[in-house]
Amino acid sequence: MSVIDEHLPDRSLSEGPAGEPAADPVAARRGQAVRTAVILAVAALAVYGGFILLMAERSQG
Amino acid sequence: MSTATTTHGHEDHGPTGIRRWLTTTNHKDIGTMYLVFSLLMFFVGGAMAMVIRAELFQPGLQLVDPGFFNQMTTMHALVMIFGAVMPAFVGLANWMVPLMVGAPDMALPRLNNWSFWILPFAFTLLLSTLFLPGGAPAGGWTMYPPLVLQTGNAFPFLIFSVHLMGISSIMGAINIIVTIMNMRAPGMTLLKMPLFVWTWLITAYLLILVMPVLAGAVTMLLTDKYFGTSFFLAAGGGDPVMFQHIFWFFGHPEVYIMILPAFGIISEIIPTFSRKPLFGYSSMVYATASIAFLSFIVWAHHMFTVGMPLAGQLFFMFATMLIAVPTGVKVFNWVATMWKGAMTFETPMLFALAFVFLFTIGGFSGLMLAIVPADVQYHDSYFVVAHFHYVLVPGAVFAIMAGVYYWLPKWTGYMYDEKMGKLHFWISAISVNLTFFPMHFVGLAGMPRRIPDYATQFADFNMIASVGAFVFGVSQLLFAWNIYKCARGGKKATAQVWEGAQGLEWTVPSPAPHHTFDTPPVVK
Repeated sequence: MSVIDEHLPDRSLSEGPAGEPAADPVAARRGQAVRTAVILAVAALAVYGGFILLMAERSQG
Repeated sequence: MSTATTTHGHEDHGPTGIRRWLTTTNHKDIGTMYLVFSLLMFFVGGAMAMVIRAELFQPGLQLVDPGFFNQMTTMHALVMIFGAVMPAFVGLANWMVPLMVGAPDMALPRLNNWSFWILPFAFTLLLSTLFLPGGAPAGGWTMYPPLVLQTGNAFPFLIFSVHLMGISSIMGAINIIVTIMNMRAPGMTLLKMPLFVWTWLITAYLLILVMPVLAGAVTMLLTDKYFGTSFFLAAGGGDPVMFQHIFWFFGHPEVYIMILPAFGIISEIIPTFSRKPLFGYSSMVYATASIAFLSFIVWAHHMFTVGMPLAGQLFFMFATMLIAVPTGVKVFNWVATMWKGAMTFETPMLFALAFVFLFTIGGFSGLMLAIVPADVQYHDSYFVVAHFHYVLVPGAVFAIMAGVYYWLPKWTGYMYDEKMGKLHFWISAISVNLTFFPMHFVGLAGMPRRIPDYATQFADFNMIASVGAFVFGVSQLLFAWNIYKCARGGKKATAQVWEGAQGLEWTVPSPAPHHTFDTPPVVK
């Protein structure tokens, strides 16, 4: 069980669009955390790869 | 599946002994491991500094050959930056960020474990190069080509260990951002977060943006050496100066990675011991963000002497000077917080006050170095060594020590020995100035950095600096002993510990239980 399962702040993701309780707020919270982590990891990889490609192009002339 | 209001027992049923530490996903355990690791690296890097200062005690070559001296300067920097200062801040973040935002743990606990356990492997690789034929890397921590490409067997070890440190830092940063953005207690809006959390949030973004740039640069070094590319080799159409631009595009934000969390710690401690709220909270947040932004547009001030167009020189000079504005806001706010406060001077406050005073000296010498015509004179001299050691030792390291003394009772449940803490502070504060202040003088008089020998005119100041360094080094044993003593027992600490302390971390008992905030607190 993830720590996110045990910790659900009473914030927007606890509620559905119309203010009623969300179908699975814990999953929503966990999903948001994982999404944030994946976006940040992809950003780091993109900087790494993009930088090397840029330099490769530049060093060819 | 539990809900927000579920509480459960605090007893652990996990593995014990060494397996507990290998497999732990608890933020407090991992924070402790980071802090112990960084203390160990502090002494390893410190031992290298002692070799450097012993050799420089007198002019001439006495103790080590010049090649080994160069290995010591290179390894001292790498170990202190990546092994001591950065892991210490990550350790403090691991311990304190979840407690400060009211979260039960970091958002990604397994990633957290992995982030830590990469580090011992990275530093085993790096330190093992000391025993290789040809010795450790000796081209400076900046790894400039073509010099660094002359490194022997140690080269791939260096590159791989830098990659591992980068991976560890990026994973740690991702974890901190995800925790802060997703796990704050109800009611804790962004502008209600403690300053330490804010500074770490911004630092974590800096890490994610610049560590891949360093990784890219060292990957290109590796391919230049072993795979026939010419990214930085002039003979093959590459550009060695490009490496310097790339390195400092990482390197300057890296400086702020090592100082922004320090600002956060000082911003926690000064209000506590002044018994007043922090003056200008929101301006502190905006100043931190401004410093982070400016850190990306000043990198070339490290390489004015390499040569660049006048427009470039002017841009990087003025952009660098601009950093003094948000930094000045911070210093003003710390002083204004103390103004008419009911101040007391326990050890954390003493270190925090020394930080404000001595970091400002380092900031001023930085301003001097930003002036292009002056920098042409100062570049690669001991003045630069004095400048960045003032920023990093009585700056970053003093802030870490302040933070450790401040939060130690919360971690162990016992008060540390205040008398020994104060003794440690005074010996450290005096000896750190004895070590680094004379370096301004020898630098201005023309003594170059990274050399094992020097002209006899510099002998007196170097002897003073070496004596200061030995005293500073030995006095850190008091720090280690005080921590050990405090972990073993002493006067019981209350939950709040300090009379003026505010924040969620002071609402949990001391020592903080293994699991905290199973039920999220509500922040009004």
